[in-house]
Amino acid sequence: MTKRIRSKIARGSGELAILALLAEQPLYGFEIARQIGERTAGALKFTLASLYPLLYEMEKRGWVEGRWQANDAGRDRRYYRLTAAGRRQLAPLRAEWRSFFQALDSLAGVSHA
Amino acid sequence: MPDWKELVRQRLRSVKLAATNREEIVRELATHLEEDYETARTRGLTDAAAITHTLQEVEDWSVLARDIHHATLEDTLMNHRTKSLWLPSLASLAAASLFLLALTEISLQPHFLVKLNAGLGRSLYFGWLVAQILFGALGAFLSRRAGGTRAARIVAGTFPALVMFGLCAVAIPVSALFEPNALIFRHPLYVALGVLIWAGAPAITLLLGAAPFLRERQRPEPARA
Repeated sequence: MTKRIRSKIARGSGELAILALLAEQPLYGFEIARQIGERTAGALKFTLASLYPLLYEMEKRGWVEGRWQANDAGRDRRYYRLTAAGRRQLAPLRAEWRSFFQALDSLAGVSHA
Repeated sequence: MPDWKELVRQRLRSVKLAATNREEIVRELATHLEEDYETARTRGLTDAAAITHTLQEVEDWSVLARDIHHATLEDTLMNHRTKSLWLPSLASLAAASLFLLALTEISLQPHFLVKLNAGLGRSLYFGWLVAQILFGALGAFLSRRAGGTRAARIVAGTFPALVMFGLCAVAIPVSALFEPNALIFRHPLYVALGVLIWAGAPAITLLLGAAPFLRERQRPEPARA
């Protein structure tokens, strides 16, 4: 698989992971990376370098919106929340990935379940 | 503990960003690094080991700088509003205008002029009116394809009629006040009828054409296993 295709897959899965997480609640960057790593048992891992360009791109497209907010300890963090456009994007993305895994499953016996 | 903010600021010097945007990004990335460092420390890593661990978050700062630049770069050639509103609107206006021009050229041919009194004028008008459905559909389709909102699709679809309304709104008062055009004062109902015929009725047929494209594209999600 070429680096370009791998990069597209990583990017697409990253977008879906972020949208799905933010659909549950607004989160800040570090927490997004932590929860994705934890909930996928490390299969998906975001570093600062991979996370923020993606978040900024999604913000530019209007899928997410970032807002500075202080936590209980008074530390400022930029919380991202899903916008209506991002919410609309989530269902088609899920469907596309499901079709992708089904296609891989039928071709190579790679089940996503 | 390092000054994470200063570290990020120094390493992202090459990114071309507006000053306010740059400071916000520096602040956010520094917060992330600081939190990563603190987490490493609470896991029992020494200060030096925690710093090394945190710095591994970014393998190549020049690549990150480039990626942030691309991610935050606005589409300067054509922004979203241009693509989803103005271009589709101009497309429907151009198509409607060209069609009207062609129809006018054809109807001014001598053998047509002879028949105009025999009801052909009315047929041409209704043909023109029905054709607006296509132009309304064109504007709304192009707008939806570019990700336009429902309002943008309505405007793009009905743009030829909106322009006509605008022209009437300017031309009629100017004509009445400065020419002065006594006809407007003597027969205001005819003027209103003219606006209805050349702007109101086409607005309805344009909207009819746009209607199928006002709904969101249905991409049903398969049932969960």
